[in-house]
Amino acid sequence: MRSAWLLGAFVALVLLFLLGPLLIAIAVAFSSGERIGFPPPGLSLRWFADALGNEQFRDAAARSLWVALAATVISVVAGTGAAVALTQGQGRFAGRAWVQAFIMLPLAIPGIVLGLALLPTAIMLGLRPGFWATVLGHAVVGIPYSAYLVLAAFAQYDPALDRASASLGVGPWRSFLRVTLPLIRPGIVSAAICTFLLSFDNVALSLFLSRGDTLPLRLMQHIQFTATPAVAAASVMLVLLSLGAMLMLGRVLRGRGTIRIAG
Amino acid sequence: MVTPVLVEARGITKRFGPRTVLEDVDLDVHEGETVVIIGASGSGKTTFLRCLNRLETPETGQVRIADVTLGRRSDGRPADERELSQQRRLFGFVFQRFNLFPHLTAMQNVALGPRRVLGVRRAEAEARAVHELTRLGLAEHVGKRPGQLSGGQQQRVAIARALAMDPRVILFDEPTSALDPELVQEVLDAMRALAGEGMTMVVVTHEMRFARSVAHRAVFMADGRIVEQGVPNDLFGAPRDERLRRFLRHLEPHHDR
Repeated sequence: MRSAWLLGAFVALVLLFLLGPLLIAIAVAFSSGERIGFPPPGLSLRWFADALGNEQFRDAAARSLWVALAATVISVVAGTGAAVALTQGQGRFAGRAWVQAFIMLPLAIPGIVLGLALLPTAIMLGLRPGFWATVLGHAVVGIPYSAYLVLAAFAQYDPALDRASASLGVGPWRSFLRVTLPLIRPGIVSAAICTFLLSFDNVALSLFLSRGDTLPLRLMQHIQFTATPAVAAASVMLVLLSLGAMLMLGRVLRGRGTIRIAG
Repeated sequence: MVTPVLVEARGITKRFGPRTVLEDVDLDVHEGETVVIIGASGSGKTTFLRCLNRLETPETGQVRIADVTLGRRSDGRPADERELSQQRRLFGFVFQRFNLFPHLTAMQNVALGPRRVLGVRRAEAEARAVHELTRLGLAEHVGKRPGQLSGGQQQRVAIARALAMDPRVILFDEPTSALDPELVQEVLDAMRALAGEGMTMVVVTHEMRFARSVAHRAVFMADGRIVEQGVPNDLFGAPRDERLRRFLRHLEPHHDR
């Protein structure tokens, strides 16, 4: 009895530690006052209207959306390709473990360091800070994430199914589309969702590679120079978006991810 | 058998790295014949079966089926992957572990080949699938996924899937070895019925009673070669090779059904 009570108290404290700051941000978002401050003098939705009406926020949101979509497409295609190369057909080549570790390397490097290294690289390649530099920079992190998640999906995939396809005269490409792809789809969908979120709220890389016009950067600038509760309102909407994506991810991983190989 | 030769394998040699798994194996299979291949594990039976339809590529040797040489075009030049896929479907293949597509229903498993390879329209492919599944006694299971079926039912779906491609020969790779004992008979019955309808079959199996009662010929493999072959009753009743005698002694008490 007593230990259950203690456990409950502990869990409550952890939740408060994790979510407390978020609750303050949410409270500030509904403030009726002019400045960011806690507790808010009164409640209103005016800052939500203000955030939604703010042209800078809207443009930045659109820009971040396109950057994230492009980075997601590139990362998922390349990451899936890497996972296929590492596991399928001739995938069991010597030094395979090294190649896999090498692909994962960008995840081990702090974002700021990566950004610092990518900016001169991009310029050397004739790419000025802007849309494509940001997209490719985000893909540097998105590709290893995607490869990792698709590799995990391949761990459940039975290569004997490729022989079954071949025995029916189904060629390798068609077999990949009709058999392999549907079976690793949970991995691909989670890769897409993770990469999208990774890109959408990225600060460290965008700081170097964009023109300061992605949504997280605009919010940061806003906090530095104006700091109205509009930034909290925008954050609350972003949290809702991420939450929706996480719920989707959970569904994908629990639902279609549990297909078992026959036999 | 007095029917013409349908499949002719000549000089099949296969190596995995330094290990020679098959050495210069010849086999003729006649139209409508059921040939059973027996042998200890590691004797090369499964590899030989896979070399027949080129799921494995032999180092040397050739397989002819009807007037097609696998891996060669009619003008004698090497076939590309697409042409090889086309040739491969002259063989049906039934795997030890079924290898059904787990995301598809029984019907979709059977219809996939006709739709995607033969280019049959969807409704027609599904009708054909239902027909084959019904023939194998699976009419009420057409909409189920492999995970919802017993091992015996899954293996019968796999046989239906092979049949739907209208193959000239069906190759069976230990089709009952992965099954619980009580599910073995339904699969053997299905195979017996097929043989009775005149289907040409090559069966790798340990089911001696099936071999005796259904097969026209039994082939014993050891160390990557065909050591002895003949009418099953002769082969099992009066084995000449010492390895075959030892193999039969070890097998009978455990596997005879």
